Amino acid sequence: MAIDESVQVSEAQIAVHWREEEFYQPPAQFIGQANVSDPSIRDRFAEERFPECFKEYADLLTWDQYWQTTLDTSNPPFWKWFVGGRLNACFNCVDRHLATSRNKAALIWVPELEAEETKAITYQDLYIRINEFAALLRDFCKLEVGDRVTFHLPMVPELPVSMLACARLGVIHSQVFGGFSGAACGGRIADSGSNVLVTMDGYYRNGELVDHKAKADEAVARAHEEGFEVDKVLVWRRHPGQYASEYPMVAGRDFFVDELLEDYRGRVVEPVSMPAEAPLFIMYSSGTTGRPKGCQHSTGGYLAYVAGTSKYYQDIHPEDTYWCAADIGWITGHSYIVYGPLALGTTSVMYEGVPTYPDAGRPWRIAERLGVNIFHTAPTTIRMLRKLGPDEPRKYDYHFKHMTTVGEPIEPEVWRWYYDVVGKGEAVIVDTWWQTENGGFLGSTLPALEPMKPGSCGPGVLGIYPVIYDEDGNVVEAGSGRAGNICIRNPWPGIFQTIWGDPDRFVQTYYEKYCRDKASTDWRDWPYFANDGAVQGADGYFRILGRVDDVINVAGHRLGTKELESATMTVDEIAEAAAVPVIDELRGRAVEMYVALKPGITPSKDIEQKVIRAIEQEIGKIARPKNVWIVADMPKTRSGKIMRRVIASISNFTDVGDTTTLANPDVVEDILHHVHTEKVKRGDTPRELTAQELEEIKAFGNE
Amino acid sequence: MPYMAEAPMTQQYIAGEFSSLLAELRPAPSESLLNALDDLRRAVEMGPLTRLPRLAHRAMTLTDVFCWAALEAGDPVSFRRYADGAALLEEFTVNANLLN
Repeated sequence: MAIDESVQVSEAQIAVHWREEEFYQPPAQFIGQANVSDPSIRDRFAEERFPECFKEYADLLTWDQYWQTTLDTSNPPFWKWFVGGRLNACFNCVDRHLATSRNKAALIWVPELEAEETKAITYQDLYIRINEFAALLRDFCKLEVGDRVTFHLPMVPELPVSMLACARLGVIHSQVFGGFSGAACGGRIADSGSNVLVTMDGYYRNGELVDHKAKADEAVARAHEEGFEVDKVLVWRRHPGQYASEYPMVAGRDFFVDELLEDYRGRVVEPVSMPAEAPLFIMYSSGTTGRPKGCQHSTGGYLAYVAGTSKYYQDIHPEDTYWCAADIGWITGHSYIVYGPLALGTTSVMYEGVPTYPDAGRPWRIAERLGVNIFHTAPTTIRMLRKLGPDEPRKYDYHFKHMTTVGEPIEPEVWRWYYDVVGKGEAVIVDTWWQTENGGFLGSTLPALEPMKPGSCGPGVLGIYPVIYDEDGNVVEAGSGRAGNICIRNPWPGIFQTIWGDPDRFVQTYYEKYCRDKASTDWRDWPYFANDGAVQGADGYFRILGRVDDVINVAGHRLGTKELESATMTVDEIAEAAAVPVIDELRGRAVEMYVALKPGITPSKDIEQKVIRAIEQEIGKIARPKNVWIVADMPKTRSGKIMRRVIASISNFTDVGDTTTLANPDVVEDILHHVHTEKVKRGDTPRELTAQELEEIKAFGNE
Repeated sequence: MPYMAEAPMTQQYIAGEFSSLLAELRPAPSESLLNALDDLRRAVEMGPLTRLPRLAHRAMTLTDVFCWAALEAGDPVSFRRYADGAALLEEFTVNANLLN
């Protein structure tokens, strides 16, 4: 039977076969204290109340002057929020808390060396330090409203102090992740046009004092190569009075901040009242063309959005001890270590170094010692902590009420460890989806109102109306099991304003694809294209796919190889698995599984059947493999990568190509002999493949 | 190979940690390998996030080369340092789903 090519689906219509997970209800104890436990909040943020619904977020802030227009759409897609309003971000994060919380810790900083003292910085301390540094920036560096300053700082208190000092002055800050090279920093300095670089001499990581000043020299040189000159390099010292770098200070350019600050002790700088739409900071994000994008975020809209989502989704109360274990060099740190939590007047924990040094118990020791009750981290960190110290959380007496996972899809089994072991079954989890460009969460569950579902971020957050479109702009319905491009139909206050210096790229990347009418000033004609794939369940929850995996198209059903391999790995006897396509006259492509067994296990038909049953159970009968081949070892590169191309070629009786660079080329001949002998015995002899099929097999598994 | 889009979810921090781990391999065994390391780091920091899995494979290959170079130079201290760095890199990139 010939295959009807018309059943091929577009890349944006990828069928997803992933077992639906059960729901977890939030604990009653959490609901009782939650900031939001009234279901009517969804009505308050319903589409018919847009955009005025966001007044609820803006009212969390203190405004110098109230706004006249909530959303100005006159120049789409350059949306303006709270037009006419004026405020200062630093005042909102610090000054306004002094009356009630002057001596409360705003930040608790945990240095990497456990013998070094943890520092609690009160709102009063923070106020003083910000004012002194703001005075220095204004008077020594001559910075004015709208100027840009680049920071290349590690996770030290001087970073939020520097950010808030800029915010106080209306100066736009651009923090480059401290672990990045000087060259990356230099490129961003040149792009943003920063005359001043703020850095540090060193910081601790994995127990070593890293020489960071070297990167400043490299950054200045790189900026120079790109035609931009840095006037001043301000160097904070990790240990004031001691210089940790081997690289000399450059006379007339480099200055120790602790020495300069002596002239600014006790100085107070009035916070500059800024228009709501004035830029607050630039955050660079990897681009698609090798040129990072400077995402420009606003003052009023951004701050309102992160304050609102911190209150309703992070459930932050002023009396909480909240720890977002991210780096402030990323948007997560800006929004959910600094601006969101401090706007709400809570205590925010920050730490230096890595979570697994000196051991994988470090995060839980910190949580116990500081009484952290809200914890926030990323799936990669959760996976590492689970692998390196699966039982460590049980050793420490801490109790989280709320935990967040952010930044990438999380596997259900990892989610369950996070819930059961880290959260001790007591904490609610919010799984969040958003991007550097978005300012704050776009998809998540309201923690007291909407049940958790492992692997899904939840519905759109309050005031966010997501939709999934196919390549042609047709809506992919919830519950259809089909994936597509997730878009947000409406603007929201946290959305970035533009790409710094490149508005055309901003429009082209995020709006052009699904814009219905470029002449329209109706926001409904300008959906935001998030550049992520997603699928929406019938329950309205979104599962974000991110980068799509290699797929095998079986009779129009596109099966992800990672899903097939993950299902196979649930069989106890299996050590490794690889899924490959084989040309099939009936279904177009069929799946063949190659498996290697754990040491001491004898191959058997029973194990093959177990693999088949596991795949049918986890994914469905459509994914049933045509053959399961038990092999002694997989062909691998020297770095340990399974060469799927080679085994796909074996399954399809095509040339395996060059195998001399493999770590174990000998296994190829053994596998080939075994598989071909068996296939011939079964009468499964191949026809000659077309050129297109040959190309597909040859390319399979290539990155 | 189908990619859904050029910019997957916010995973900037993965690129950042990846870059930091590469930086810990310095100093390199030779000038040419230092250049290779810097090139790789630049690609991690500046390139599309979708390229990270490929770069993770490149990184593992490069750590292999570093280890062999240290052995050939009869430098067990450097060998140990590169091997430790390779182990950290592998641990991280596997947990970040960059390596299988």
